[in-house]
Amino acid sequence: MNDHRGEERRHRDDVGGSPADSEDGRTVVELLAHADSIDPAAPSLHSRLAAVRGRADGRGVSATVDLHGKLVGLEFGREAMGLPPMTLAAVIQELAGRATAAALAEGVALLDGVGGPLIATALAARAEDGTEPPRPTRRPTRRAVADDEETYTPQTWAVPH
Amino acid sequence: MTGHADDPAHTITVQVEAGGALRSLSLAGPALRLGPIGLADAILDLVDTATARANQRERFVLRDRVGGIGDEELDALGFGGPGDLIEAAETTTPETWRVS
Repeated sequence: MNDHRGEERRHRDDVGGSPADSEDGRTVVELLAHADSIDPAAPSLHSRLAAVRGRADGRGVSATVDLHGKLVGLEFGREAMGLPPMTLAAVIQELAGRATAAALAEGVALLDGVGGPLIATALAARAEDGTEPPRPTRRPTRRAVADDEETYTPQTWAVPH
Repeated sequence: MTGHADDPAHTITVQVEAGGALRSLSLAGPALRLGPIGLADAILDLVDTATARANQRERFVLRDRVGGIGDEELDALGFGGPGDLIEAAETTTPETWRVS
């Protein structure tokens, strides 16, 4: 490990650094300096994304979701427990959708500067598109296998460790 | 790609996307008799179970469609989860999803 870093430094001395060695205009020296500035003990991007939470409150309900939109926290107050069951279910769904939009926005903020400006812009645009909460669906007769395959969507937020 | 879980005794039904995003939630009268903490725990448990099932389905599809992808890569991409839930999901995954 140390040998490798020493080799990097020798390489830095050799190349000296010329303008626009990277797509964003940074020289090799600047890129190496940036690499040296990264704290290996700092939480990884993966762990920071995994820790993202979005929360929304309303009508005595508090819903917390992770970056995937999965409900990870739910609290009910007195008002919530007085709602008709179907209304309460609808409130939970709406809040989960709003909390997911908040989590996505926080995730995009974390990615800003990591993937470059083009990726950050594209992710921000997608996050804005997804601000509308998902609507309840009632399709009890849907075909299990074929329909699921047609609606398959990759987990674009999954980031390797 | 969705996963489903229900608690018939307390009339709670949950459907989620792979990853866990809530797609539908159904509650009836007996669910509210669980009280605020019991109801929240019941819904979150069902979301966990449904998510494990949805992820397991997606895992099988990815393994089928992406040549050479292994368990390690699938885990790294987030298609894992608590071991007991995955095991339970595998026992309820239709044979049509078990294509390797």
